[in-house]
Amino acid sequence: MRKYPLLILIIITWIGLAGYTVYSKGTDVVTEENIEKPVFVALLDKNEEENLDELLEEISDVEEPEVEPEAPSDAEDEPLITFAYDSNGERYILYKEGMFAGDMDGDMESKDPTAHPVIKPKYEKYEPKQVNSKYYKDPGKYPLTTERDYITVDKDYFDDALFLGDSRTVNIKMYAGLDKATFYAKTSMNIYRILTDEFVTDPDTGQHVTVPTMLKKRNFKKIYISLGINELGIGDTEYFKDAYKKVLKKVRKLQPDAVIYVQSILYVSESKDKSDSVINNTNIRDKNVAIASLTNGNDIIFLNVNEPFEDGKGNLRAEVTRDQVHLYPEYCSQWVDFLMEHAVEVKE
Amino acid sequence: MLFSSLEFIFRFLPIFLIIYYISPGKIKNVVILLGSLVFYACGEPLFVALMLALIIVNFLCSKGVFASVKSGGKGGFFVFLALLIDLGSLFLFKYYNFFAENINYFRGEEVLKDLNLTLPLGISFYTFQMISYVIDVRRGEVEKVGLIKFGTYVSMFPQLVAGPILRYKDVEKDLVSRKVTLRNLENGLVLFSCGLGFKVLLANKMSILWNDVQNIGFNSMGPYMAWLGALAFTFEILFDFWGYSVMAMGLGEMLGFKIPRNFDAPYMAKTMGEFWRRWHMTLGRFFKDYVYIPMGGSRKSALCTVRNLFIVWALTGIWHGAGWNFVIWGVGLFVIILLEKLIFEDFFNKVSVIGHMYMWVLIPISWMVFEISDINSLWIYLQQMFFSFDGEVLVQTEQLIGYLKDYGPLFIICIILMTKLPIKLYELLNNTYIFTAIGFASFWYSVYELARGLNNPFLYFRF
Repeated sequence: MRKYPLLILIIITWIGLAGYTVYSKGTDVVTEENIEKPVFVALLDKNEEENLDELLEEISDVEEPEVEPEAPSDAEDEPLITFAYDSNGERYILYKEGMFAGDMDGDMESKDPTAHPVIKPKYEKYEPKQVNSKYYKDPGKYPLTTERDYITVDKDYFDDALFLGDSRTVNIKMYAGLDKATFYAKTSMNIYRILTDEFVTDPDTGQHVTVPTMLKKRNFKKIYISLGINELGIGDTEYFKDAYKKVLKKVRKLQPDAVIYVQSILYVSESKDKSDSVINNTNIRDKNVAIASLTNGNDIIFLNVNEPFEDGKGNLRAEVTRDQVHLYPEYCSQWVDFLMEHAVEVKE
Repeated sequence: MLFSSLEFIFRFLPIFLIIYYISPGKIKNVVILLGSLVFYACGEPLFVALMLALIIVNFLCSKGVFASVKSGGKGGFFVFLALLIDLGSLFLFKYYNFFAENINYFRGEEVLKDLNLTLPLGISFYTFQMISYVIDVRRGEVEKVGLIKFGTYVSMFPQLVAGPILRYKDVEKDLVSRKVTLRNLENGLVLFSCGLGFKVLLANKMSILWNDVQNIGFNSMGPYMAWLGALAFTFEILFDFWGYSVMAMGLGEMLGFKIPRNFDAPYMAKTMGEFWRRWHMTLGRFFKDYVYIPMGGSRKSALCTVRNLFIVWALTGIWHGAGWNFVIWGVGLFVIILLEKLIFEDFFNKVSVIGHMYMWVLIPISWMVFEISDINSLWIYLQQMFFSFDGEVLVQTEQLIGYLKDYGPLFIICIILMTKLPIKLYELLNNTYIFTAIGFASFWYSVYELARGLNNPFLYFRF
């Protein structure tokens, strides 16, 4: 020990850590892959994949801030209800989950005669390829921006808008010059954590709170959601869609007057697409088809924000990105331009 | 297989060391040779054949030189043959694509076919070591050796992939007879752990910042971000390469070899000339011993000296990579060093504050020329650094402050460690428990970072 202290210490630590790992995780961890890192399996963060069910439950269990006592405590079993406004500015139920044939939850016929027709997004079809992945299949189509009347607006349209998203939205926040809009966005954010993570700084208290807490406090007229790239390797598309739906329900419930824009997941570049078996555009298209099916074209609108950046072959154009995933700052304003050209009027 | 990979640290190295330590002294060189071939084959399953072939050809050439020298000749033919084959391979694999591309570009048609050759790992290093050996044989500076010793000298895995570039006499004695004790292992482990820390804890982290800066794009980054990025890369490349060299020294020590130092606090230099005497010292030594001095060095006419300097620095430039930016970089270094020799050198050495300031403007700029291979992008970046790029700056002050807050402590640590302090401390406190503690912490923290990177549940969670 005195002659070779480091050598002995390292060997002891190595054996100790490996032993601890086997002790706490069982001999299952002694796999080919873990041989090189036997030491830390027990100490490293839990693998997100193992806890898929917990993740989904967490979204439903988001604590309801105690403001409206009449609000039902559990949104889990509620249908997704959306509203629209008639010419007198009165709100009426536009859409109730399960109202229509081909709806996301089955093939029930419309039961509500007053229902306003839903505008489902249209799809561009192509020949699907065989995919062998636990995360996705090739949907053979991708969704287009909801077809409806849009108005073109100025940047002040975003003054009462909220952006929910991941690093791609962070880039809009930093580089698109929307100084008055609100951003609840964070690098590595995903649909499973968007409502549960305490990542929003409450400007009043300076504390870190969750998105629902803020949604209770503040009123937004427009909510732009852009999430989905970090979810490509967590669960399959159905699972992702489930989570997305739950998030939409929650947001809709907390902000009944807002128009929600579901933005398509931006593609990655061709070189990324070809080299990555998870983060690729087939997976992204699969997820985009899933989230587009959750929209109704009235107050939940699907925007295919890939339009300005696509290379014609379903990839992000190479010159707009360096890391194959994120737009260069100079292109973020084009994203916002697209949003400004696809706005709907929101009643005050 | 990188030194800073768990595969190397926990698989290859322990297995190799156990075999090496229990093997009898006589076959230890064979064990190193075979181990190194396995090591190389893990990364380059095909090119291991190329390396073996080159080893054999150079060995035969050196035999030819011996025979010729013995019989009163100069062995010129065999030296020429060896140079032709070594430099030819280097040209083919490293420069042919670049050469063909440019010929085709200037002729406006496809004169030379693109062969799409990939660069074999470490070829720039091991061809130089073989050249060095054959020339040393001709100069009568080394004794005749067997194929095993020669193969071990060229391929020994601690220095195979990225140097230091050995000369045969660096390891001559150790190859013939060396003491290999557990004490070597202990000392080597301390060095290896420190080098690993440099690479994983400093260089890798700085590389994240440099990567972020590049993602912002050069058009809209603004001058401050450009400088921040350049400084991040400046530290990344130092601790990456220095860390690697220290790991190589440590591994060499474990095997009983003294591998020469490659870095001597280069960022503390006051002139570019001094910088290059302290940065990648074994490369500078190679060019000095085999190019500069044989051409006359600075002992002939002034014009001759200028020519020799030009050749050495142009070669240094393109040795680092096949690209116009490396040509610009090498020629730029030549101009700077020439100007220093003619005018500034004494002044910068006397007024060291000015010397340091001058170097701290120059070093980041020179690394950007080195790093950015696209000439248009490079031009934009340099304009940004000089506050002269005409474009909207999209990076806001808050963002810059955010980066400074995140990376400030790391920058401070890097600044402290770039001085002579680590070397002095090591000389002073090696073999004390202080370095045991430093090595232990550095080793496990690095391994933890590496394991987390691999085992990261957020692997698909990064954006």
